[in-house]
Amino acid sequence: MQAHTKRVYAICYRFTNSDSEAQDLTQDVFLRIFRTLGSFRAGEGSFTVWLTRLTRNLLVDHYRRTKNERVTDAIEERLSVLEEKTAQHARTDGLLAGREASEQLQAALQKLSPELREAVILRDLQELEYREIARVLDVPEGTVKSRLNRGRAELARVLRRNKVMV
Amino acid sequence: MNCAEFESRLADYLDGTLEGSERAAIEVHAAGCPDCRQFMADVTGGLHFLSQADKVEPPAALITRIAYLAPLGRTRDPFERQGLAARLFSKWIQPVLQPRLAMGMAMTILSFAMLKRCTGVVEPQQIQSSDLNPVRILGSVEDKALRLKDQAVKYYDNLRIVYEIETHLKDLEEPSASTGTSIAPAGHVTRRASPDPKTNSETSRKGNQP
Repeated sequence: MQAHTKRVYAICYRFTNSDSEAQDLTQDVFLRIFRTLGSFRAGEGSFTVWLTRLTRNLLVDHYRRTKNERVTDAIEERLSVLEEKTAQHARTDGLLAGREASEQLQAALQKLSPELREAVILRDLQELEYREIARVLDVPEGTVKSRLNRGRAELARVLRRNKVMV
Repeated sequence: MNCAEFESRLADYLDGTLEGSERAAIEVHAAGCPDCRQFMADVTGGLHFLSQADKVEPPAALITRIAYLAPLGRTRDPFERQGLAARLFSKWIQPVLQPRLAMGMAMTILSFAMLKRCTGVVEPQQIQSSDLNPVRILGSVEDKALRLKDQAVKYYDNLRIVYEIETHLKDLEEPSASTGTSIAPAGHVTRRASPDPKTNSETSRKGNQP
């Protein structure tokens, strides 16, 4: 239970970049799990895939619903602050570590399109297999790999623009 | 190998799952294609950065809340779509129905009612600072209480049944108390030959009854 909660929260937080939204969404996911647990068929895939797919679908719904309401200025403002901060403290090795890297990553992830973002989160942060991601996203494995490459490359470009990476 | 094949194999190449010949093909293509070389550098850089990210931990309270309440279906469902009436109710009506707010309103109304009664001020606009003086309020309360008591005593005395009972009691008491008393005709009770001068001036109470 705890491991699943951590997984769902991490996906939601990485996707939304908001603790409160991630908590609300995580609760919503588990409410739906307990309502629809009967629809889970062990033979159709692992519970993790089922759980992740449910989470992803909810995230997509949430993304669409809040698209108009979302205040993009806040993200822009945050990114500009980060840009100033990192410009002042840019390291010669070009990479930051630990928590700071995580914060930079969060800001940069928000710059990716939802398709690329979810692929990167599921593979590189949640460490799911390609076939599992394909089942979650309901796309072929080749599409997953393509999105993954484009997502990673776009992320690197955003980080470079923010002078986090050289 | 063309650029499309290069891109489709790149993820496996970075995972280290390609065979030797396929790895070599990727490297040869990257060496000869600047765009793909740059693309591979970007992808590798992004992947390296992602590998440094911390694990995200949810708040402990969230885990507890979900573990205990979600099976009961009692965690809130914040993204459930609400109708207009429900949204209006939750935004405007629900806060008014809070017990502490209702209690506060009741106490305010009670305070104004008591103030009005004690000071005699009818309209709130008529209240002046002198009306709120404790001495004046106390005096006003005392005056009201005395008036109320007088009104109650008068009302009680003027009740017909009280008067009739008192009259009959006096009729019963008078023969035993004094032998010089008699019952006057037509229901008039008078004291005669009483040694007490006070009683001589006493007239029939019934005659004064309105």
